[in-house]
Amino acid sequence: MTPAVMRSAAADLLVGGEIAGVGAVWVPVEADGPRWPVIDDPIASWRQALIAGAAPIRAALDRRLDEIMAGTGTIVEIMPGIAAIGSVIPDREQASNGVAVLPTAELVGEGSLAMLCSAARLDETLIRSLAAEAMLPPRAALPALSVLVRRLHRAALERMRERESQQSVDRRLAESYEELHLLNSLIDGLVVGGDADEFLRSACAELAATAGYGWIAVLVDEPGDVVSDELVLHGEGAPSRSRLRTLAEQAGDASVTAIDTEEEGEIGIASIRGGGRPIGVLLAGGRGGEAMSSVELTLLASAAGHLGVFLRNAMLYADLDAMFLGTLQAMVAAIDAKDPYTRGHSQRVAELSRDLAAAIGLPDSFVRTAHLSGLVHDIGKIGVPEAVLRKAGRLDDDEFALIRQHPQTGYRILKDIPQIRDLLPGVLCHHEAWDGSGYPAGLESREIPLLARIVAICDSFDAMSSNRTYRNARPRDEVFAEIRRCAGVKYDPDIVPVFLGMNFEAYDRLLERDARDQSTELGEAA
Amino acid sequence: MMEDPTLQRKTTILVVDDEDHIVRVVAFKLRAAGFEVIEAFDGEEAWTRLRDTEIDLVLTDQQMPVLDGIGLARRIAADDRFAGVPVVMLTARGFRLDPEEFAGTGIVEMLDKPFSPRVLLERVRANLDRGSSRREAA
Repeated sequence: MTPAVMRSAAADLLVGGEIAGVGAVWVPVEADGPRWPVIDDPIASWRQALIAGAAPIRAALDRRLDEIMAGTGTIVEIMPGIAAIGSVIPDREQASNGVAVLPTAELVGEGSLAMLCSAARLDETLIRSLAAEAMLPPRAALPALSVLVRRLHRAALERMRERESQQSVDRRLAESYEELHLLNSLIDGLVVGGDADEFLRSACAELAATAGYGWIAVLVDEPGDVVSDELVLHGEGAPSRSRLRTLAEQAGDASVTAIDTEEEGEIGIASIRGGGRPIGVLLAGGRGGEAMSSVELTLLASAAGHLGVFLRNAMLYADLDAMFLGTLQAMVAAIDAKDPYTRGHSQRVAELSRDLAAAIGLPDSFVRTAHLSGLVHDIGKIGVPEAVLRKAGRLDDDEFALIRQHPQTGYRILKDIPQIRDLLPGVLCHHEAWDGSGYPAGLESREIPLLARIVAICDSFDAMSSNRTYRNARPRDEVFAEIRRCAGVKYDPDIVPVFLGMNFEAYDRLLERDARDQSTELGEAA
Repeated sequence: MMEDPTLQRKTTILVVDDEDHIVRVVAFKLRAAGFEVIEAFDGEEAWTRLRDTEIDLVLTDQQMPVLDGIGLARRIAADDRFAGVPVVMLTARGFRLDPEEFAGTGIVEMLDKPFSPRVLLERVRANLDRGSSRREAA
């Protein structure tokens, strides 16, 4: 049933109820003729049973319908004792026309009752006694009743309209709540530096559930380091990637629009803007042929607005992060330039420290810190003269003292940069030893920060595994044996087994590449 | 028209909130889903409604004048006539109940405001199902 028909059925029921109050039966009249009510209880509503059940009444009404409906309030006695009052109300959206059919006092006296009862298959004695008890109005009362019918009809329609507008306000209110809830849950996910993929996925899922979409897609123009793929998809039955691109292009610059497609039905498309320019597109569809209302489109546009803010922030954050890492790498390159023998050492220690922190099961933020700390752990070597760093022979006490200063020098260089405060323990303490024999402070066991204990193993391992000014790289089993031997002496005995259990394939590839570069450079120098 | 006594009684939900727009939204959503809805605007009024009508589930706000949501839930739980009537409570975001406050209230679920009417309807259905299976098991 379409909403319009449902509405008119509800209106008829309401009007019928009112009209029954004056002892009449309401017969709605549509363009194709009268719609006779269904008889639900012959005793409770004997009038309805008689009037809707007797074929002669139906026939008489049909015959004189045009005359009855000629104007509102027209009274026609369609047979002795049965009157029809036409009521025509032109409604704003839909006319409401009908006939109030009622028995008058004459029905009992003038004899058509017996015929009608038999036509409607009702017990005449019963109906006669019910009619007598009902005190039917006389013919003379019909003009007054006609006025009453019209008033009741109008009042019932008025109430119907009020009820509908009330319901439409409530529906709008419920939709606003839904939107508010959606936006709230999106805002909850707007954590800068949070996982952008995860955020986009949950935003799509939330939107799909709220607005009843089968699928939601987000196309990001320049995924960069922010999201892993240009397309984030939720749900089933979405068009292909290239088709989505085409649809997005079709929507052009519109902030939100709906495109009616033959194959996929109606698809809502909202532009995602960040920093004043379009940075992506939000597409939604799969509503099973159901039309998209302004409510869904508004919802789509507000979701796209939030996605834009989020993506823009995520992009800025990624830029900042890349710049930060770039700065650190530039500083590290400056140390590498001083000593080709340690080329790539910082990067290798960074990656080993990262992998070791992850293998220990530390949280992601710590794993990231371990990576950066490994990268900059030797930054203090900037303060050590090149002659000392490159010296092939044995270092004298003064030279060794200079080397031993590099942790503090590194600490002093970095300590005023607030963003890297977390990395400092790895820089200052990576030469401390588990038994307290290290430098600069001679800390022992768990006094040494965990970050430094991690970097220390990775630093020694790489030093032993690569060529140095003073010796060549040692074989892997020998390096492993040395580290195992020093567990509980130089290194944290709990971390050593985790380190030895790691996969070194990526490390070996890195080492090989750096060794190639190193030999080229040393060859050129010679 | 006469009421057919053999017709199944509609599941009846008591909605209690002092903010009438909330009552309207909730009532609209629940009625559209086929539930009978009784409205009340504070805990004391809700208590009166509970005694006149058979209620299957109470959906109440926490913060209300006269008698608040917890007070209402506690009264319901303490009265044998309403034993097992589940109470779903709407609370402001971030509102948390201590477990001892929760104990003995019959509160089966708390929902944050602003809520999603769609989710609210789902939770009402789920708690009604759970309630009926609990009664059958007993």
